[in-house]
Amino acid sequence: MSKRRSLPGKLERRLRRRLGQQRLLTDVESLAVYECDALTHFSAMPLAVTFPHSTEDCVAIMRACFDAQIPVTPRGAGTGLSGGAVPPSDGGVLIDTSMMRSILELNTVDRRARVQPGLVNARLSECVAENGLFYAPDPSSQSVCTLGGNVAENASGPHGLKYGSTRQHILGATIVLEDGEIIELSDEGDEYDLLSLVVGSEGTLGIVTEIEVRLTQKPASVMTLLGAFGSLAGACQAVSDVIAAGIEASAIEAMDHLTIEAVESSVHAAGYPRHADAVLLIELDGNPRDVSADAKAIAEVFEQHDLLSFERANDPEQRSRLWQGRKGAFGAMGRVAPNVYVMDAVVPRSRLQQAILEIGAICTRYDLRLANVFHAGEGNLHPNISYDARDPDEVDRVLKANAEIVRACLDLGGTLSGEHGVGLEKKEFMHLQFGAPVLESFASIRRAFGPRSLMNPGKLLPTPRACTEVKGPAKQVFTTFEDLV
Amino acid sequence: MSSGRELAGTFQTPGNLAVMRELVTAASQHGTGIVATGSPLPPPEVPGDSHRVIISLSALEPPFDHQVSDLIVTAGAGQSVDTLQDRLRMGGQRLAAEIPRGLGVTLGGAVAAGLDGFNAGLFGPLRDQVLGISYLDSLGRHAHCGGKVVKNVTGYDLSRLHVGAHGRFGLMYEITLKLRPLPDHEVTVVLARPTLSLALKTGLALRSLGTKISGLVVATGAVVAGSTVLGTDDSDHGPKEKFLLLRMEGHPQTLQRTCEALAKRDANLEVLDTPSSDRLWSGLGHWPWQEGFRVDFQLRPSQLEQAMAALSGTKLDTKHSMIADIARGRLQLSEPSRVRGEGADQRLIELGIPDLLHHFGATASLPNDPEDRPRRRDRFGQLPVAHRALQNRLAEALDPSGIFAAGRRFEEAGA
Repeated sequence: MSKRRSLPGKLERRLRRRLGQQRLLTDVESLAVYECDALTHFSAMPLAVTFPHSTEDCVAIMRACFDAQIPVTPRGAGTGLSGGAVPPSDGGVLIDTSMMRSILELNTVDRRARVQPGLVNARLSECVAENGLFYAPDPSSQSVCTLGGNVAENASGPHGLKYGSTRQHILGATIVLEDGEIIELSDEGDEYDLLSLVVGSEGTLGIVTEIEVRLTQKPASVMTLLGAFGSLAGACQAVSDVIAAGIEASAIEAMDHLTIEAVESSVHAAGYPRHADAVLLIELDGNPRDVSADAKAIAEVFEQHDLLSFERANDPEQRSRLWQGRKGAFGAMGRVAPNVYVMDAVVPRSRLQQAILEIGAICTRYDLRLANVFHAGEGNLHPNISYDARDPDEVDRVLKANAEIVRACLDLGGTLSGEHGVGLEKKEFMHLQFGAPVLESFASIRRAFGPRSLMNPGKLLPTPRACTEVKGPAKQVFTTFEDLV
Repeated sequence: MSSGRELAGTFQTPGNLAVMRELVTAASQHGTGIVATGSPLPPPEVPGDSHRVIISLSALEPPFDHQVSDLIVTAGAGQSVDTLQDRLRMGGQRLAAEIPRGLGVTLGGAVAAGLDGFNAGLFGPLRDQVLGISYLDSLGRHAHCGGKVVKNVTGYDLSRLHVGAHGRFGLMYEITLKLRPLPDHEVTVVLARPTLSLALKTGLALRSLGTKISGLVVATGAVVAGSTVLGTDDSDHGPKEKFLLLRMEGHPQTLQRTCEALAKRDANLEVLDTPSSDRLWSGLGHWPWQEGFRVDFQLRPSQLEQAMAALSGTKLDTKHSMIADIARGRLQLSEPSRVRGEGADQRLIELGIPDLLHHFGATASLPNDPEDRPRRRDRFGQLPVAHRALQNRLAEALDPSGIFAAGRRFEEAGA
């Protein structure tokens, strides 16, 4: 464990001059709130927390920290699930963007808005709803998570199946580099696509201070379908068949029996059949005739896969009820155990069934309670392991199972993360997915943006020590990383 | 194997990846530049290429792995896009990017140039379809970025960085793409309008039609006159009219109802049969490849009218064409004259294009002669200094040997 630094007096005075008393926190009681994000497994206390109002504030903070050689970690609402907003263990300055929450420009004709990064995701959709528009990426935490955090993680949610991840809805961004340099990135220029590097970079390349987003027209009609199945395997096969049939749903979500039980026993109860081994929640949107035709086609596919019951919902109230269970699923898991580890990995959609079986076997082997809630249409798995963090043995088993699940997904042709990012959680696994040339490229990109590596250090890239710690069927042994970061 | 020095100025067609890797390694060791091509024939000489080796991917056995139930394909960079589309069609699927057919475009070339088409407003640009890329890096090592899944946020998105980078970050040899099912049905309607303003306003309103719009374009000038669908002498529409072209896809009944609803409001509406529709969109897509002077503006949809009016007020060649993609805010201006170098710069100034870009805060792809591109970008100063420096730092970081198409995209020291 590195020794914790203290905030240099000169830096504190400089920050205080710019931000005043209210927008700079340095007392331990206040800082404790910022020790971790939603993945509580990792924590470290920052030296200070800053609350900028503008790009200019961010420039001032970055320059001050650059001069003092103090690392900086950006933070949105702290809803991240990979430890991306945790300060370095030896301390650093945290930039909380929650006071940068304005819509700076709204252009409904061109269907775009320029916003500050602290704006809450769902708030943007609320503000443009009267214009028949919405902001499409819908992470489960959208009622609290910020657009800046979404950009950092390239976030997405259930409707990513049709509408894609955050990157597909970002038209431009203002980014401040570690030395305070401002770079305007645009989707529209004739240049290298730096915007695609910045989106999903987990705050390691700079801090995004303004975001230009694409707004999407609300669909003419929406229908939600609920299929209850006698087996999870049958539900998974139904998903593969729906996709292979060329039916383009906007969301295909799956929940297993333990999740159904937890949801139906909670305040989020949605009327899912308790006797079902799995349910699929499918949403269709678009022209009403297309939606009806697709719903009929889906029903026909479902009937071939151990279908127990099928429900269609057209009106908003009914649809909202069906979604209530899915949206409350993670919260409902609190009924099962005090803690839940929400994992994130992706497999090819045709391998869903196999992946679910293997994950189930791993958790059985480690005597862990597994619940599956996942974006089935994209092969994005979220195995949720319920555990008690006060039990060191159980924590150890959870971590071991996590490592095996990651490897199993990679062996099936998958990737480490579909939406939570690498952060602290998965950096030790990066060499399992990527060979040395790509990992070195990642390090080179980081250096090109910030030679001193002051932006959110310790995230995304494996550390040399970690590279040798992880054992297992690595695709390529990574040995040349020492001098890169 | 030749030494890197001997490779300079040669055209190489490696038959397998091992030989290609040896070529890259040799070039890297001697700092010999590499330009990739999908063509089996040497391209026209470009100044500076005598110091480079041109590597053709045409002789590589193209991999082809079509996972129908995943809607994913992995194919060789040297594979013809036309061939690829034909093979995917057999599985009821397609590349979402509408890359012009019949021109011999290879997949690697399309990715390097970032090509897409009029359906990008519906499906997004090509970079949204690219899931993973295998390439040789500047040390000749095999690198695999991205993945073969439809959702992936692991590490920096190197795959997208390759799209449109003109081969600056490595020699791509295998590309994985997301696919779309073939549409149930597709229909194109043509709406004639007496003025440009009306055509564009109608187009903006049609975006809210509620159907899947895979093309929404206003075309004027020679591209209309030259179209066998729109511009023939026996056309019902006079040559002065502006044409709004709307292509939709979906279930046949839905499209039929939509066309009926549109026809009630517009007596001049014409629904094209499938061959005419295919010919029309193919012709529009091919147009940019006509030899000549061409500028692609990236505007906002609401700026199209003012920009087109401003350009119409200049001394455009009588055979000019303008194609406005309303869904994306793209405007393509082309003239038949083959001006190059300083002449092209002068033409840009005569047409007031730098002022136009400044007025709208817009950007444009300027006439794209490889030898002029970096200088022209510098002269018309589209990128702020800090941004350009970052772009160059990135290129240096990912290609420390400076061997991959250096200087073709941006002016780079020593390129």
